[in-house]
Amino acid sequence: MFANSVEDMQGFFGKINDFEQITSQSLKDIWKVSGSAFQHIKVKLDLQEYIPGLFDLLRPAPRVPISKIMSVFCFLQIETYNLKHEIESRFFDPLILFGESGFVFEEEGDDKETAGDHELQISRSLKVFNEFLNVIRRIVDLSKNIVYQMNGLYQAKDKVYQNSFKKMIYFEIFDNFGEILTTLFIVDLII
Amino acid sequence: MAGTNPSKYRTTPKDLKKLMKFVQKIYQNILSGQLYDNYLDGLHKIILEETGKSFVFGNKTFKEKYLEYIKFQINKVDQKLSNPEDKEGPSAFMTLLINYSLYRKLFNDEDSKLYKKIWALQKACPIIILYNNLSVNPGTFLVRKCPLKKATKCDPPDLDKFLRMELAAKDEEYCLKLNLYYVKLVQWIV
Repeated sequence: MFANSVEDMQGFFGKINDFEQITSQSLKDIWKVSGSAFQHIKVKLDLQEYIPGLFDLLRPAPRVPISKIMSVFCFLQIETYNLKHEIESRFFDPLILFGESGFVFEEEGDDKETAGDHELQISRSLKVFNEFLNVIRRIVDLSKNIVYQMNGLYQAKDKVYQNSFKKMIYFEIFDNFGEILTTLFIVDLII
Repeated sequence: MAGTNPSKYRTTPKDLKKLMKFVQKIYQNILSGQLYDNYLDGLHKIILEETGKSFVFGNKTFKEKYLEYIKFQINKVDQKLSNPEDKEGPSAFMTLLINYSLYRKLFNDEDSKLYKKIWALQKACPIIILYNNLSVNPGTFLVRKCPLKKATKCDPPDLDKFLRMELAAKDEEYCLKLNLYYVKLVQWIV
């Protein structure tokens, strides 16, 4: 069975290589420009393993409104969780260390001695701050999206709300929302 | 220095201006220490600009559901904090505080009863440890992030006095607790 699957894989890679060669050749024929400096566009395929996600396994019916709603909130939950993890792992420690000299006891030098130190610290941290600003923008977009989705979900006259969500509270989204905003509050405490 | 002689630092006055703007932005947002407040204000402003006053802020069903969630969470956090073996109590309390501040910002609902209930929870958890040595007192959070416009009697009434009393009580208990942990550890090792 293993040998068969290896053969299948080799066959698949062979087909991919053939496809690359044929398309590159056809592009070469089209771009008939002489000159050593000219290089025509080449087709190069990047093979990546496809990892099946939750919705590949569940295969929810797109026409059922509740499955659509759950899919949207599921993606929002995943994004919230990932952002929270990203902030904790990538930004907390650099922000804590920002402004620290690294010495056990801080030495207070003259103005002339310490001139430019602060500028150096800022310049070394610019990349982190830039990335963090982008993450904050993503949090604003995400939270705006969550609020709009919740607003859409909780409409008194909507049939889906009346049939499915009237007598229940969707706790998880509120919890996750609270957790990601807690990280912003922690940043304030760090500063 | 780079401003007087940009070419020496391989830059231009235009790039320097961009950099200055970016650094100013960092100081106004991340390094201001008011990132959370700015975020809440910003979110409210964006929603208001995009949808107007009534679409989200006037949605009574959404408001009721959010309120229902907060009330449920108050009871849940109360139960969690009264159980010393439950270690998730303080983080659930923090999530509740954050959600309450967001609810207040979105719907501008000043229900003093709800505020009092959340305020009273700090008797079971006066300090929430958030990250390493970073901690917050729930009362301080409520006073700073979502204060009531009208003065209301809450329990504990005086925050400073309450914290001092809690600290003194914890200080007295410290030796006894440490001794208890030591005995438990010895029993576990043997």
